[in-house]
Amino acid sequence: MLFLIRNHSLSLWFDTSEGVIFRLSATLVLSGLIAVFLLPIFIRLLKARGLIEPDKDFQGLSPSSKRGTPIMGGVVVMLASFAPPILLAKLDTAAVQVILFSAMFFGCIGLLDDVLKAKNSRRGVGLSAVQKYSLQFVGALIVLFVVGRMYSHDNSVKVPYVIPFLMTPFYLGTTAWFTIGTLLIIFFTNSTNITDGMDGLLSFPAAILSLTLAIISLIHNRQPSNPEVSIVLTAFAGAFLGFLWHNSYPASVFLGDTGSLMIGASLSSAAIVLRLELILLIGGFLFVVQGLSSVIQSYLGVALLGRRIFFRAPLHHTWHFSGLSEPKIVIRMWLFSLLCAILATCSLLVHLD
Amino acid sequence: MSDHLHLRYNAKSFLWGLRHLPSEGRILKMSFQEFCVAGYKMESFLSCPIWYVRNIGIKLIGAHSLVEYEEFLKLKCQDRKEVPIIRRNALRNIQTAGFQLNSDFLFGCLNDPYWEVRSEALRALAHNSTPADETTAKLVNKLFNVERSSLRETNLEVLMHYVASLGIFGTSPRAQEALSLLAKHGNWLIRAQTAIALNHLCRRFPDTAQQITGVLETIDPQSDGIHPVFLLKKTLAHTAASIESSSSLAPLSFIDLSQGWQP
Repeated sequence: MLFLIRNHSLSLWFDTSEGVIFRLSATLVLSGLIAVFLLPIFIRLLKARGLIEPDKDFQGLSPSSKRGTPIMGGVVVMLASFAPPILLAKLDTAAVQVILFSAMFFGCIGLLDDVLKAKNSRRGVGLSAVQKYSLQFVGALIVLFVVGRMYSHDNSVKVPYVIPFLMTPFYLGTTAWFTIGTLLIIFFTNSTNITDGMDGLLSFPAAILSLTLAIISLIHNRQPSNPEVSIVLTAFAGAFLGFLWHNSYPASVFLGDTGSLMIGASLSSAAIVLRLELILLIGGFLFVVQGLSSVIQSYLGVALLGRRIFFRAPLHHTWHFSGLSEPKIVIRMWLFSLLCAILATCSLLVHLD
Repeated sequence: MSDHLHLRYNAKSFLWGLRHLPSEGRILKMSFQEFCVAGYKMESFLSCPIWYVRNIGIKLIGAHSLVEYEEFLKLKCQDRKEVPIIRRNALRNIQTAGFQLNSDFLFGCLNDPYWEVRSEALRALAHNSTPADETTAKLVNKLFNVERSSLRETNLEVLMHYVASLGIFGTSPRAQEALSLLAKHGNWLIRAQTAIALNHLCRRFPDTAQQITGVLETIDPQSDGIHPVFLLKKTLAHTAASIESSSSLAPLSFIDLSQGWQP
């Protein structure tokens, strides 16, 4: 329906056949502005409704400063991410639809979790782990099914993975591709959720990674849908940067699971659509480290071996408990994510030498 | 109800039976009588092949101060084949139950390879020990490698407990000498803990005040640790407190922007 409305009215103003660079720039600015100007209104609304962070989530991060900060800022990030592509991207492209669906679906899982947590604010209990993982699994399967249909010929996925630095095509059978894709979406989504533990720690690296994928998809233009995917990714980047305006230390609003799950799902599904899964792991190495440290600590360490392997997990807590202040950790992680993004871009440009 | 708990070494059957086991929190909230009435056997918990069920058993001993298991807990602390978290919890629950701990036993625990056990042992040592030259010397020898003049302990949390212990039961000048070395540590948390320990030492040995002041002056005050102060929240709390407490009107103050934000 949105597509019809857009085609019959707004396309008079925004011609999607116009240059990609214009549409990219307009998307970035528009999504950023929506996030910056919509959030203060939304923050007032959240405070009035009492949708604020429960005390127990702070893990030693000066609770007095975090108490009373509204959650669910991710709802505005979703709006700011979706509006510009609806206006400026070709919505009939399957790749664009998949990424937007994935962001919406995972964002809704997070929203449900946030609402339940806010309702049970005394206990801070939301969805159970089984419920959360099951819903994520369903979302991941839908995304992979659609992407598989986009690229499949004779029951096998024929678009190769891109191997960084080597640039040699690499094919996998459909089952392996499905398994790796599902694991990637679920792991990456939960990694971004885990990373969202300090003010501004998730939004800036996510914006950098979105922009990196957008640039790579333009340079490494293997599919006709790549420019449209770039526009969607730029919209995400703009929305994350707009959110950072309010989320920078000390934060006025938190993403909540709504935003953090949406970010992870949108980035991982974009990487799957572009067949840049390995590039995602290099560019988003910060999220990989954060996710792995948490998985190793919880599942391998405490549950299986009965010991803590790291001093604290995820990584930002190890640093915090070792005496580094929150802003310093956040800025160091920003720098690290910037380096990873540069490395990811370079890994695909080596063939231009 | 809980016959499955007797199937001690059959993990598969036990896991099947666990579906009927209430959560750890609910079991720990039971009185020991309720626990027994429910049909649970302490022995089954403590000998279960699944470590987190043994862990509930260990916590129950502490929560209900079950004297008959005192030796069992002490053996668990020293059993290196046991899961590290259980060794830590055994030591923790010996203290919760109020059982006696001697310093030789605790110094033995300081050799444990798992850092949380060492940390727990130092906490207990600080709580149970009285100032003595011998204990201080033993602690300093555990901490410092005299030949290489380096620290044997690398874990930050354990190191913090070493420093705190030196302040609490260390004797001067051995403790002071060790603390003045730790005052030069690279991590500001250790330096801060050293300052607190020196303060403890100074209170117990007032004649060392001048020397301790000298050590304090050598501590590098630069650090990566800051704690935010939200001036509005502070002002609101201060205002509410002064309204509640004062009978007479407090002098008016205002936020002078030319002086910064400090009200």
